[in-house]
Amino acid sequence: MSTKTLTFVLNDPPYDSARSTTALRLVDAALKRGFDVNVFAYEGAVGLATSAQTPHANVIHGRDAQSEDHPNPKDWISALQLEARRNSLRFDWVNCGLCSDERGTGEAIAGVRRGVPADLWAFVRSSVNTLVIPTR
Amino acid sequence: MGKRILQILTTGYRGTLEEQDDQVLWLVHMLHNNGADTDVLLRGAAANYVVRGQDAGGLCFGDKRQTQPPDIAGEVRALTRKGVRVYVVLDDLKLRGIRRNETLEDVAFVALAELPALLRSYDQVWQW
Amino acid sequence: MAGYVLIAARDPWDGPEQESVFELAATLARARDSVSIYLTENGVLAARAGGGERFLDPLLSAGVSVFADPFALAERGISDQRIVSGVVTAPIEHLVDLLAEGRSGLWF
Repeated sequence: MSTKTLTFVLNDPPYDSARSTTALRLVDAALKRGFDVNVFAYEGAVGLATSAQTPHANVIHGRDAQSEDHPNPKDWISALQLEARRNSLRFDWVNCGLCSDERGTGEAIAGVRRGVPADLWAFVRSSVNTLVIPTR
Repeated sequence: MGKRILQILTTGYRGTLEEQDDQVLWLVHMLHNNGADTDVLLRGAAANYVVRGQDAGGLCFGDKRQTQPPDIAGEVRALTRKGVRVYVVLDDLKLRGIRRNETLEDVAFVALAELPALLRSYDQVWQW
Repeated sequence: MAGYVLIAARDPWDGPEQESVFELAATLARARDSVSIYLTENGVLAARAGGGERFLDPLLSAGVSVFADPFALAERGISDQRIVSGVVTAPIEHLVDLLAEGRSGLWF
């Protein structure tokens, strides 16, 4: 039986709302349910997978960078990529290219590719469903 | 202009899982530590910050588990222990069914009708 | 169409616009569409008993299934004992299941 696919369209940058974390929880849940997953990162969401993200210490928490273990969403995405590979599932993440250019977000982590709206349409056509998580 | 500042926080849980704290409360800590005379008023969804028993633990993506989840109530408690006054709008708690015996100690409750007097007692009011 | 799942992610008391998810759920239910609501993020504040009934009781009476994200509930200190009667806690995998049924997912 062929694997079914779900597509998520994300709009929010990291650290600015709860939606970016919930989106990744949904990807995790979809992989756990055995789905192939597509993500089309649109507008500010192209910042989620930026490779230059770095963690920092937190003087208010009294923790250095290592013990603070501050999340960088790129690492969450990498963990999801690993989970997908481990379970022989496809996890395809496309950053809207023009959104990346206008924001100067720079390089994304390995496994995240630059794309165009036609990629979103290809995702949608191959999926059982598509969920847009809009910004507010 | 005087510099006694009231910080009004209305959005709650905005990016708190990724930041592992509330960005505004964190900034209030930093401002206080740098000598600012600043207090906090929690409104709207942020009124929930005074609820005891909040637990954001267990976030996990694949094998990557969050080791330092945010402790929002702890942040509020830490502010009050430093002498920062934390107010919460009673009407916003009641609307959301939050009972006073479910909330942290050392938080000051203020009714909506009392807001004008509270705001007037500060030199500046910042709304986040 | 396989119905709808409306994802309520915002505090319903945060202005009249935030109630629109419940209004739409009621409208769809009246039109005999299959409607589920999934409360997550600040949307779970509506699941706290003593506050959220005004939004949820009419929908539950109309046959709308209302689910709440246990992670978001715990994050906000809302225990199982303090949840509006009729709301079912369901992990986020259940939202995936609802989407996999082909329901249109509308995020509020």
